[in-house]
Amino acid sequence: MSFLLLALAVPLLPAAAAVVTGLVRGIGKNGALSAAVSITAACLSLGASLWVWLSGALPIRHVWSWIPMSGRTLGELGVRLDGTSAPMLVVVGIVALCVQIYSVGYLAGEPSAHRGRYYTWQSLFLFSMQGFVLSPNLLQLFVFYELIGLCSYLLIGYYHERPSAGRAALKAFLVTKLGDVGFLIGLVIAWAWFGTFDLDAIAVAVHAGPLHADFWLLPALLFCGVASKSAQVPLHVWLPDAMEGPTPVSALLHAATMVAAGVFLLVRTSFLFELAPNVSAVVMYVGAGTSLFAAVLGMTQYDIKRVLAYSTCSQLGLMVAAIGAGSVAAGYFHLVTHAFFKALLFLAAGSVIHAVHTNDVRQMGGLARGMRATAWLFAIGLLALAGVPPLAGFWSKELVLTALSEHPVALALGLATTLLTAYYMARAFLLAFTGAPRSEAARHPHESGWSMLGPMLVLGAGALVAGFALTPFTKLIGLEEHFHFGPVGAVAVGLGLAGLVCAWFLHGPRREGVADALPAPALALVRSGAIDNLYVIAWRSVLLSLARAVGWIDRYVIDGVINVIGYAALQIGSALRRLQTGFAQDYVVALFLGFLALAAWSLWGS
Amino acid sequence: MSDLNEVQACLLVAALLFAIGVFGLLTRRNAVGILLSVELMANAVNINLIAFSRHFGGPTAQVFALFAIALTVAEVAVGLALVILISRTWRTIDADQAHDLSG
Amino acid sequence: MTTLEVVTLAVPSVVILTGALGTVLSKNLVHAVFWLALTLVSTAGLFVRLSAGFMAGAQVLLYAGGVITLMIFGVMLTTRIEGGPIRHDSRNVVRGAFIACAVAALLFLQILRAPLPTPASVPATSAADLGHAFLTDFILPFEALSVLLVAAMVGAIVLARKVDA
Repeated sequence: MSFLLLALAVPLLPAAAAVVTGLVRGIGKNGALSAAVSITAACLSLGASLWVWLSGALPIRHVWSWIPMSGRTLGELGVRLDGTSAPMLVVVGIVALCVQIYSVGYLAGEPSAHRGRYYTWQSLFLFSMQGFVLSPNLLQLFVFYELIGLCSYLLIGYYHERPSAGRAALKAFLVTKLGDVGFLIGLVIAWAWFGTFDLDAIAVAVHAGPLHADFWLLPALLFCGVASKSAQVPLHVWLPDAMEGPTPVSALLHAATMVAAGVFLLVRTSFLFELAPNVSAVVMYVGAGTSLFAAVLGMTQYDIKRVLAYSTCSQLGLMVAAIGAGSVAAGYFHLVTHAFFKALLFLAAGSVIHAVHTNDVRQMGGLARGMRATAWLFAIGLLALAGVPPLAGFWSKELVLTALSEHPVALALGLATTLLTAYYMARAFLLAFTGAPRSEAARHPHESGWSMLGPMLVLGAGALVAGFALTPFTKLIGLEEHFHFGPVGAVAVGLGLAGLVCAWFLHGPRREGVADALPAPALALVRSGAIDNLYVIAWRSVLLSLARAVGWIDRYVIDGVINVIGYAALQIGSALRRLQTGFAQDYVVALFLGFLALAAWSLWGS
Repeated sequence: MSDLNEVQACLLVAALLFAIGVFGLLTRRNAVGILLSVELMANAVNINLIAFSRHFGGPTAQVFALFAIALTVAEVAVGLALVILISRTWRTIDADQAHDLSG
Repeated sequence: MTTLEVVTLAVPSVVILTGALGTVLSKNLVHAVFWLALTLVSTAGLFVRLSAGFMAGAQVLLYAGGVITLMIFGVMLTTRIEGGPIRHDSRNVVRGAFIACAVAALLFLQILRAPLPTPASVPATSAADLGHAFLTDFILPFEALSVLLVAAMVGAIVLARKVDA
């Protein structure tokens, strides 16, 4: 019971912080105070989750019925802390804590009240993610999934005075909602088929009984939700735009929360995908395709955050592909290691942006001289992402590629992604940190303060050792997956190194300028955002005309009916008003008519 | 009349009496006239009660009839007081004139 | 039923209904009250025919004595207040007739449909029986009725008194 309380404290502490900073004006208007409350809560929450994980009290499972209905429970709220959710909880806690501390320095120049609001959303976000990770059933997963989407919207739109931030926030919200519709339909189907939302109960049901003829629908619909949150093609369009938010928010979003939620949902429901091989294959190819597609896009970007955004998209594709190929542990492991080094990379990028006040790598160059610590940390993140042994990314990427080894096409896509990832990350690093400064601001960079460097160091340490520390962790989460370095791994490492070397020759410090690896027409095509334009066309031609038709129906048909009803009610009212003559005898007439009607009904009716 | 026994005959008379009372209740303009009609209806009820006491025996029905008569007396007393009050307020006892309840 | 029985039943019945029609149709309010008195008294006759002697007495004393007297007082009082002969006509005659006919038809239908067996020869209820019933089984309603009558009397006085006086 005490461990249950501890497990409950994990999400409830940030929730309390959100309530306090959000509702108590004296705290909410004060940025420093809000930060203190929020960081304390995040710290205690992380401590609680670590304690529960390391105490060996797992698994903890407890549910409270939420919406009782005839004989069974429609909704349950609960805690399900097992080998899968506990590590995730800790990772979320670490990244969120680092991001919140980092934000103290990063947002120091912002108005106090804005920072207060920022920390309210941060705490709410942390609460949502932790509640999501702890969910024992689909309904709770969905509720927190939506909360995560809401918090992302709020944080991406933090710079609310910028119209582009508002648009980006709305885009992220709407695109993820598009997929969530699928999730919601899947929820209804799950209820119809199994009469429960509980994942364990559903697992028992699908393994025991004959499957529904259209069983594939359920995992397919759930994957809709995954694809939108985890930014799989073609629902990835919101992710690059989400860079409009403050950089620490991007770190949180792209490492441990928003996009991770999709993959985590996939992990939690993987038993459904295993029973639908066709859907799994689709999942795998969508993931592999996303990884290469996003990697190609990443090669073309000059905005350092967008490079990282596409890299996130690409790595998420790898995770999804691994799970689609049947190796849940590989995908999950990559999710965890990726959380460390991607958060690190974002925070390092934020440090750079903080120093030179631009996102454009063409305005940077030679920053390593002034920002030695940031450069080193960015390099660590970069090498981990490129899969250079023995950093964190190496271990998980080997597992992912090994999982794909039985599917030649997917494997080829994955290996190509590895090459390109190493290349474009090295390109961004070389353009930003080496060579000659290309702008006035880049000539005199200043290293960030300790509130920003500290979290980066923690995450850097994570990126260094997460692979070692967590390799036994695949066993810890109870999935039989053994790490062995095979030919696929060797090829992957080789490709990663090749990508780094390519970048050195193309963009190294001796080469002036910012030459591109891709030919100009391809660049133009990619930069123009072909997918975005497809959405715009679909939006203008299909959705808007549909909306106009619906609007017309609403205005003239539905409103017409409603107006007629209202007018009729008025007319009937004024007609009935005449019945109230005030003459007592008229009322007696009504009395007798009623008596006669009742008597006639009792005589001849029924 | 051969297939009617005396109880049924009395019930029919009472029904007619009641219907005449209803007619008066619905048509009289005068508040006192309305009260008279109510008396007719109450009387019809009493006839029914006595007819049934004839049929089933025992004092209960007659006790009820006596109660009904006493209640009618009380009703007439209060009703007439109301009529006097109405006539004093509206200067008329025409039921048509008193329609302040009009909607 | 013997012819005598039929006649003793039919005569009071006809008089009752005649008086009732006179009550509701008379143009003169005072005449209407007297038509009502005729109905009430002949109802007492019917009660005698139905072997309810005490009830007949009560009917004459209470109704014909009390109620009619009250009515006359009421008419006189209101006439004095109105300061002229009281208009006493009818309105909505068709509507009233229709509903009255419907009520009568319904009651007739029910009475004729009801399975009422031929009466057993039950002993007539004497005044002693009634008094006994009032003071034993019905003692509580009897006392409650006394309270009600007092309340009605007080209420009537309160309603009818002159507020200014």
